[in-house]
Amino acid sequence: MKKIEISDDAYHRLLACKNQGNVSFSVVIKNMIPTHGSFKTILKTVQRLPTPDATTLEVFESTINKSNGWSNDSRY
Amino acid sequence: MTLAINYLSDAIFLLDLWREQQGTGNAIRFARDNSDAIVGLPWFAKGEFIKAVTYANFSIWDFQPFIEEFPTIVPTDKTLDFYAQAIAELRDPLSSFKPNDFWFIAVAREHRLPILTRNISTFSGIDGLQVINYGETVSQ
Repeated sequence: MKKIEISDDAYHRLLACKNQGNVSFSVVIKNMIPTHGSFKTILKTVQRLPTPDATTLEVFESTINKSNGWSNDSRY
Repeated sequence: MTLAINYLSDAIFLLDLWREQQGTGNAIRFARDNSDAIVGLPWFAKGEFIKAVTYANFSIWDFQPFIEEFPTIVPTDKTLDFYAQAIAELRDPLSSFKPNDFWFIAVAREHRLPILTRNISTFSGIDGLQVINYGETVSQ
């Protein structure tokens, strides 16, 4: 198995192809370690988001819950 | 098919990571305790988060680097089968399940991924589903 580095965009495109049933990509993806997506990276990128205030968080949570048809009783 | 993904999360998990950005909380704690893990979002969950970004009048470009870290899990023909199966199995006249709940169950079962959520009341006790309540995660 030859390992090659690909861009994040290419990785997602391969993943999409795999999920469309194109199994010829499965071996490539199974052996590929994506360069993004681990919590290690996420913990860094979340620090670069704007600082949220209480009102903003409320808007976010109620929007998401409304989309899901969930109540807000699962909040902290 | 096996995805290079360890968990399936809902959009609220992303919100909690952001909420806890400046300090510690259960979502951040879970992330630190599982730093090598990769979390995927079903297409609709990622869409919900992006919708919330727009509703809160933020620029999507500010959030793009964060959102892109989460691989998007897109539906396949098998997903549709699992979706129909979940509805047939769990529907009843008083069912509290919403369409996105069925999609979540379908994606989790198809890819055999644990669901990372604090909405335990919806997903617990369903056959073939592993649910992780990060809201109760204890720091190790």
